Amino acid sequence: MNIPREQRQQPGWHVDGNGLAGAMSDIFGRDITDAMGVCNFCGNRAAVAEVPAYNAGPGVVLRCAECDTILMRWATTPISTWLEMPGLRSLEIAMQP
Amino acid sequence: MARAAALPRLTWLPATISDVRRESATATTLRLDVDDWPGHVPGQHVDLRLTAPDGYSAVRPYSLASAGGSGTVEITVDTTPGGEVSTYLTQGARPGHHLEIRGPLGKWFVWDTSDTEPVQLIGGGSGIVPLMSMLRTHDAQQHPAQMRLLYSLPSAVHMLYRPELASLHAEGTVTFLYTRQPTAASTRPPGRITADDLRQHAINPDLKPSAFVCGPTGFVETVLTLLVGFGYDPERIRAERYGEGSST
Amino acid sequence: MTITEGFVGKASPQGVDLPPGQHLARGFPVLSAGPTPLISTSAWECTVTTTTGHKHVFDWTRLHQLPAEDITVDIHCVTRWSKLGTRWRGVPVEALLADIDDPTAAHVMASSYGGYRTNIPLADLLGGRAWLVFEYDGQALSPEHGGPVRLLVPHLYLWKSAKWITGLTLMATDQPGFWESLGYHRYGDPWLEQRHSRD
Ligand SMILES: Cc1cc2nc3c(=O)[nH]c(=O)nc-3n(C[C@H](O)[C@H](O)[C@H](O)COP(=O)(O)OP(=O)(O)OC[C@H]3O[C@@H](n4cnc5c(N)ncnc54)[C@H](O)[C@@H]3O)c2cc1C
Ligand SMILES: [Zn+2]
Repeated sequence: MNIPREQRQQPGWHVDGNGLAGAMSDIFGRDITDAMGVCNFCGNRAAVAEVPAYNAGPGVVLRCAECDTILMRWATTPISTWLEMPGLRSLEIAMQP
Repeated sequence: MARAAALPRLTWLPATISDVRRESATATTLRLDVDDWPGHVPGQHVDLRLTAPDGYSAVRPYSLASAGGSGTVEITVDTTPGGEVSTYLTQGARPGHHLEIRGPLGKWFVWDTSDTEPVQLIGGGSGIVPLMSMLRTHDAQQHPAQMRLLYSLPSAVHMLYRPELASLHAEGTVTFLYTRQPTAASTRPPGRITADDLRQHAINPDLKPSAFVCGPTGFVETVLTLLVGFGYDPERIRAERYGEGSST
Repeated sequence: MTITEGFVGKASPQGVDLPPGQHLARGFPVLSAGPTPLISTSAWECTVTTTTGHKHVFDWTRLHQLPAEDITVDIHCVTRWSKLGTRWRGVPVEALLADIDDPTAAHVMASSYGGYRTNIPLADLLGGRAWLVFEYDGQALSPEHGGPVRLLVPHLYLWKSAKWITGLTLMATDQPGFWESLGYHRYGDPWLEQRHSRD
């Protein structure tokens, strides 16, 4: 799934997970931008807010900033949202205050 | 035992445009009336949802420009040529128009006012908006932390918040970096932000500043590389990328 | 429902025949699900794999030994923009399959550098309706738009026209690709507005 560093172009078409706080709240019921995710491929740990989010397309793809592994992706149709978390080893969501 | 009040679920709230102000040649500030607005901290954004009479709707994120804790909901939108939502917000929006808002959103790109370490802000184009909220919050609280802004913009006609920034500029808090057309008074040749600009105008990395960087994705990528090269601690840098559809 | 006075969404074109729900794009939007791979023409290759596992590798040189043609077509993206009269140059997919004997093949999985995949019925890649293209508007195809070589299947939504193509795997039965396994339509005909799996 990953493109070797020397073969990738400066990524340009993404925002940060932070900018998708609202879209993710549709799925998780709350703002999870401060949740910490661990990449199943390289072990990198990062806040959801910091993760590169590719949203110029039919759905949204969140990738590990270190190795490009797809942590989470989803697409919304008129009747449902399809969610996959192929490369997410864990997601730590803090208790609501 | 008393349970803490449940946080309101993030739902769409009806909002009415109460004020429309031209902010620059291409940008507009909108004030929104929102019942039960819970307040925000500086750096956060909202999602706006616009619905056309035929039922078509579009959602876009916009940073909050107003000071945190002020209870005021203000956003500033720059025109993206051909952009469907920004075209309406900068040209079609009028006081009394209705839309929907969800937020405040984002728990990461926020300035925690209990921090007293120096804060370097770097904004490109409309990326100045959440940084302005930080400056306004800093000002309203007479906050003791040192705060500085580097603002990259094409030319003075594109400047947002001109009166406020002009007085901060006079105090030495703000530096303008013109990419296309400098003012007569500026000695810097026009162009994109450079390592030299940081050396001359940014808070010294020895003071262990935190940094907030916001703007079009390409701008943010460039600044992050420069900041780390300059000696800023990557752990203390937070960034908000607006994507490439937004204007520089 | 809260209606925003004065908001019309995307302007609907006058007197242009577009598939339902589409509008005309300004410029050429870049769609992506990940970073853009930079692949040199000398490193590029596309492997055709048969249902029995035989591989036929096409590199840049071999691709250019096949007969290329100029193509002018309308393209339609499921994100609701269309672009009319786009000009490309490339080789019909049929030319890559000419010497391949695989009677059980009925579907194809197209795969890209970077891991993207999309499924297409084999018949839709034949008959001069699909190409491997390497020029757009008289110029070498840029990396953002899928260069050096992408698939072009203009009669289906554009997510089927896999960028940075590197594989065509023939299959006896249909399998969903990247978006098709996330609720998007398996076939994706814009004129029938087959956006989602239940459309
Ligand atoms: C967290 C966050 C906060 C933001 N805050 C602000 C703010 O305070 N002020 C502000 O002005 N903006 C802000 N933005 C940007 C804003 O959300 C919109 O992206 C912007 O207003 C453009 O929206 P639009 O509907 O007008 O344009 P769209 O209709 O979405 O199109 C934008 C333009 O870019 C082109 N385009 C769109 N996508 C692509 C693509 N993938 N490839 C090539 N071209 C493309 C379109 O053709 C069009 O010309 C923020 C973004 C984020 C993520
Ligand atoms: Zn990783």
